[in-house]
Amino acid sequence: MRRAGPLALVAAAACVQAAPPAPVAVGERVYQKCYACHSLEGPDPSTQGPSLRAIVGRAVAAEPGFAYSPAMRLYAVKQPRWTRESLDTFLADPQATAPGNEMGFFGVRDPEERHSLIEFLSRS
Amino acid sequence: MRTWLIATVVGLGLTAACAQAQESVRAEASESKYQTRVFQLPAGSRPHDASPGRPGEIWYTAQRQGALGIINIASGEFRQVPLGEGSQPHGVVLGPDGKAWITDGGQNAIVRYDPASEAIDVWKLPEGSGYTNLNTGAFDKDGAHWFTGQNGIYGKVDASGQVQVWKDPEGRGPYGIDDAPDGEIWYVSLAGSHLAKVNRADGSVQMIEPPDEGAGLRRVWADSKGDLWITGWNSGKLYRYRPASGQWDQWKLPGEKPQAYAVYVDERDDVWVTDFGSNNTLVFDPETEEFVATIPGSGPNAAVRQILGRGNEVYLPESGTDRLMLVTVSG
Repeated sequence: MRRAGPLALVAAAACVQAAPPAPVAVGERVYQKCYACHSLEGPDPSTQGPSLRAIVGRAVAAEPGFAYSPAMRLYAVKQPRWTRESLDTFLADPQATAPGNEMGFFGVRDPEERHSLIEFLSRS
Repeated sequence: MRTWLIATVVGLGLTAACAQAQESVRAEASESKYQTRVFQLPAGSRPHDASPGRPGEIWYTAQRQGALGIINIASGEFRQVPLGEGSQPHGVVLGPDGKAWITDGGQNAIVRYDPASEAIDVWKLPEGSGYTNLNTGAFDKDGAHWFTGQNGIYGKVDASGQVQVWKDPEGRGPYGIDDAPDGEIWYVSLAGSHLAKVNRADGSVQMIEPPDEGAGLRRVWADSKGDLWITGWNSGKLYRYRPASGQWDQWKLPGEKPQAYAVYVDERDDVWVTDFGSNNTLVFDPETEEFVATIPGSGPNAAVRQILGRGNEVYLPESGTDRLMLVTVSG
């Protein structure tokens, strides 16, 4: 039996890394659940929630001029920055993650949809 | 389908949970002509909208539990009817057919519940509509059910069951909707901050701007004369628009930072408004142009997002406390 040499292993690893890109199109569709209250164009006083533009890596509850709820301000103390992981946890159940927040949205149950949404938002 | 016996409160509290709720109702409400009774609903139900149901019943949308709730006022019993996989019902109104018509954001569909047969009909929005974030519905004088979707649409299910959807000219925001006494349909846009009159013949809309830019028009209700009462979420104001003259009037809600959400005009033409800023429901007398009563939420952050009633009853679904307050107006 022939064993895979180092080169083959590297190639395999490269294949793993080169897996199909996250389905941004799916994420864009999932974002429609956020659209009514969150823009992607930066702060917008007409919308009820803060902008999601460049949300991945951004400080939590930090959009200038936006009146965050006490729940979100408290959450920001525990979780100062939006990472992919913290977004995933929050999106799975916003009320459980930041109890008392004012979002009229109950979360995205499907992990794949959350992943796609975060991928989409990371490119906004 | 599940049935619960719920604790209700008339006068002194009967249960610990409801006693707590009763304590927070200030004397100015309970000792006046506004008698309150609180129904404790299932934890996590998040009652969003309410409507008269069959005589003696109140319907509510259990938004987080994907169900229509039915309260028997006399017995205090209630039950919740599941509406389907993925359901997140927002609005409910009593149709001219005696059935509950529900704007179901989760199913992206108009759902109808028949209380006699318990049958549920579902009208999915057309394929190309996308996710619309369905909001609230109202019936026109020809029996068509008009609805709004906060992602920027309005539409109707006509008497034949055909569903049509149109885009709001300003995009995201269509929220509250109501039929005027003449049977015409009006809606308001929260993000677009405009009032819209629907041309029922071709589906187009005439947009009307409020006096305050960015007022954030949340809900609309017509009084017996056809004047429209509108809440400004961002402005903290109650507005009146008179279609006959095009005149706007406005009243700032009391308090430091009011947020006017729900509005409803009762059979006396008194105007009911909820204020998230103070956690109160206010009653406004158009004759004296004064807020004449204050009805506090049954607990902190009651979050009454809609008001409706029948006769001398007014329903205040408290999405923040999982309760529904029934106010009976006497005198």
